[in-house]
Amino acid sequence: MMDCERIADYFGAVYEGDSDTQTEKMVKDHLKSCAACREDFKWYGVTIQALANLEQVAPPNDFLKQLNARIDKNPSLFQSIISQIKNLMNSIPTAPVPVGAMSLAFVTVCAFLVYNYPPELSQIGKSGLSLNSTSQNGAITVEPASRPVDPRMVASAPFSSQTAPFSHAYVPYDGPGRSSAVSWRFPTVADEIGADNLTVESPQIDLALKTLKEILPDIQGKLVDEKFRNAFGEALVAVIIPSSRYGDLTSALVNHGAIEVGAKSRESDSPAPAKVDSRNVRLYIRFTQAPK
Amino acid sequence: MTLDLETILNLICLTIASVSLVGSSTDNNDDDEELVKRCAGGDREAFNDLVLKYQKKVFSVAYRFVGDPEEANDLAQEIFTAAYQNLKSFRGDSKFSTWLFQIATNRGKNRFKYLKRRGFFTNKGSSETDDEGDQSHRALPDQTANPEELLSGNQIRKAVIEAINELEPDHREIVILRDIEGLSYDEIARILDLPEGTTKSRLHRARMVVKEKLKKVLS
Repeated sequence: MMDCERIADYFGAVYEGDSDTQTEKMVKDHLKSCAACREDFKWYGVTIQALANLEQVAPPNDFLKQLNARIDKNPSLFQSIISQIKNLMNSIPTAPVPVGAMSLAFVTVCAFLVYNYPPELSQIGKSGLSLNSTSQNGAITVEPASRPVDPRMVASAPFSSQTAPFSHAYVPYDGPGRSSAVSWRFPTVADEIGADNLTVESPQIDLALKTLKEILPDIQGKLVDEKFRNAFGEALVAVIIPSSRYGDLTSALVNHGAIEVGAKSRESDSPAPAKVDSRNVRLYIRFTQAPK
Repeated sequence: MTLDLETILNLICLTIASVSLVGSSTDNNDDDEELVKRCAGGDREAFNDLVLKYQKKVFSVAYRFVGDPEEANDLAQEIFTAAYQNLKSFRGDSKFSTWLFQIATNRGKNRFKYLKRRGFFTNKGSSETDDEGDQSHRALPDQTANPEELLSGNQIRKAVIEAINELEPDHREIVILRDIEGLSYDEIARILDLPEGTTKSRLHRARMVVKEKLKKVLS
């Protein structure tokens, strides 16, 4: 029985003449003496011949034509993408520019809009240099400015005919384009005059203004302009002080009875004011209403 | 200057190695190389030439996998479409024909599995039997008939087709490539990415399965 199983393994090699003479002799000797294996070997040959004799098949005459139609109808993924791009370009006859250029332009416009996105009213005071009064008597804290200067705003500031704003202070845009961009919120005083060097946030703006006016003579400064107040009580003043006394201004404010002492440590972060001449600087101070 | 025995042996070994390398590189020679290059460059005429050269074999392989002319036509077109779309990724490591038959067997096997899951071959088998019902009864083989005599009968063709349809996909593909299409063991081994010994043993097992089915049906 074991021999029969082994012999069957050689059927293919023997049938195809692919076995060595010793194997062939062994198989043939076994087949002579074993009727069952002889019958199996015959069926093995019949199987191979039957498989080889299966009818020949041929493709239809228009196989190539059908194939080409199919390829043209179902392009590859890469070809599909290229085709879609071409179609997209062709579908915009008035602007037949490459899609890449269009995308670049779109991204540029988006970036421009985001860069000029108007800050929230509440963010103006928090981001700029601010004096934040949280007490009923006008206590003030000093915060450094962090926003960049928008150079377009310099010329529009009413007090800046010959000066530039602080290098690190944010001056909101008040040009023609802005009115449409910020139409969704109320304009602030700073919006209207285009200056925002120093923000004083106080629940009592009158008290804060009074404090400032009292401080100025002590530091050889003077009030050069005072802007109107809007419905929110905001006001803006322009002062000229000796450049050496800029730090003293906030110190003096702090040392004045209405100011928190803890805020003094942040004065070093304050931006430098714009120079009027070799000795004096011009400083814009915005007073905003702090929440009560 | 005298050459010692070791030097002579080294020279012989080098010569044998060189001959082997030349032989192996000759195996990779591809008659279709020029057409394939042109085709990869976008020459549609070159592709058409390749199709005309291989359409009969590819169609035949497709037909053996699905057993139906319409399905075979669709499958063969799918095979050539895949070849056309992927020709740029063909690196020429093997012959184009080997690569094409790899696509054909893979697609054929997948289509066979797909159709089998949907009972395509069962329904087809029963309908064919119904169509030729009377003939089948008349053609029942004589129990004492010699196996060789059966080859001339129509009954054996149907029995073989049914036996192939019942084979496992791996057995089916190797039977198609070797016993029906007559490809060499070397080529089959390349197409199926199998060692030649494994190719032969797998084919033997597949033949034994078909043989048992034929024997059961016809004897």
